[in-house]
Amino acid sequence: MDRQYIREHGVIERYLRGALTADEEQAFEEAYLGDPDLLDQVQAAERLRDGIKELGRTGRLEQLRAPARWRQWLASPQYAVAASVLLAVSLGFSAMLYVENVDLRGTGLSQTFERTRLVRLEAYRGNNNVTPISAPETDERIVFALDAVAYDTYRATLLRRDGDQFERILTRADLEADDETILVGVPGRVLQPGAYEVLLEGRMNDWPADRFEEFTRMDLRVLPRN
Amino acid sequence: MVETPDPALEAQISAELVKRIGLGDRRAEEELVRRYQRGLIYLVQRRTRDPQLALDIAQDTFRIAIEKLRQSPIEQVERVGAFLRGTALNLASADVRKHVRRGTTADSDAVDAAADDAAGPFDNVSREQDKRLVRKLLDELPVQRDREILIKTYLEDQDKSAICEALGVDSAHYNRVLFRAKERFRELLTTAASQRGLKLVDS
Repeated sequence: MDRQYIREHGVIERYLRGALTADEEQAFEEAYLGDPDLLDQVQAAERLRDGIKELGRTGRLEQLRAPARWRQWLASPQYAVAASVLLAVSLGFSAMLYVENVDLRGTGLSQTFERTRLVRLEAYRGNNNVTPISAPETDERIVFALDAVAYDTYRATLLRRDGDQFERILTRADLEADDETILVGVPGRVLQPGAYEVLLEGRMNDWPADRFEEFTRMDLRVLPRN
Repeated sequence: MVETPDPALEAQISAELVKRIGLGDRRAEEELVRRYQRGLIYLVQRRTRDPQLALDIAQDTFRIAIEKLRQSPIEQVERVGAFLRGTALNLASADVRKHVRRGTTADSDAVDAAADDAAGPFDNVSREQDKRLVRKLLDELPVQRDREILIKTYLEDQDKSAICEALGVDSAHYNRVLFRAKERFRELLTTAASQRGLKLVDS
């Protein structure tokens, strides 16, 4: 009986639990009688087996057998509660982001742009002043710069005008003024040649959520590219 | 002591010892005892569960074997281990043992000379230490499944094929895990034995 046979057939373990056939047992015992190294292996395995059985008897093995502590914690009721709360918060937050993303998707603001053009829109109350711009490229972003007033936040809406009809193209909410200027980014692809209006509204933080005040409208005309 | 994992080499050494003992070589008798004593004591102890009885039986076995080999060679000179095993197991039977103890008369110089070599390399490691080493070994295994392989093998005495099926591992993986674990445990035992030996010397 050689080492390979002993290893592949689990001879040591079967010997220790008395599960060898009579022929195997005789061959194995003759093998280890003259082989001190093999005898060491048998005795080490026996002590390992006895040690595991002793730990099993005293109940200490369950600690070692159990998953790691972090896995135990994952399986605990405390973790279940904490995870549920976290999941609920995450879902709520994700839902908020999802609404925002839908809005952005509609406006194409999540698009990557090759170039940006800044367009200042000035309101001339009482006048019928129209700002003309050439139709942007599809990979171009137009950033409208608008004068701010004394509101905490602003909402800008781009409307396409066809006669007396208005079609909402995009809305950007929760805008804040920086240096008395509000910047509104618009993807070039939504600005096809035609007439547009930019509606600007403002609100104070202590107002009800749905209350806005319209304070200016600016006319915009997008001209075909030459 | 020559290690012989090779059965062919073992047969050659066996035949040589038998021949030299037949020629009256007393050193060959000592070599025979030194070579097989530890294994023989272990083998008998597994059967009798009595360390002192195992030691007695082993000594009687060598006395009988040497007396026999001095007079004439055994049938299979290359299997002196098998001869010793058969003799020891016969002696382990209580009735036969009583008979043989009364009739043992062979010169025991070789047996007595080699008696101190019967200790194994882990004999000075206590059972309490064993448990600590087992826990250390299991702690070191990073994969839960590998710990289960050891536990199912040694605690639950499950068969290899059943364990492989239950844990979804193949035979090669099972062999590998078991082999490495046993080698590691042997290493831990050896280290513990050497440290214990040093403490004894120091004290």
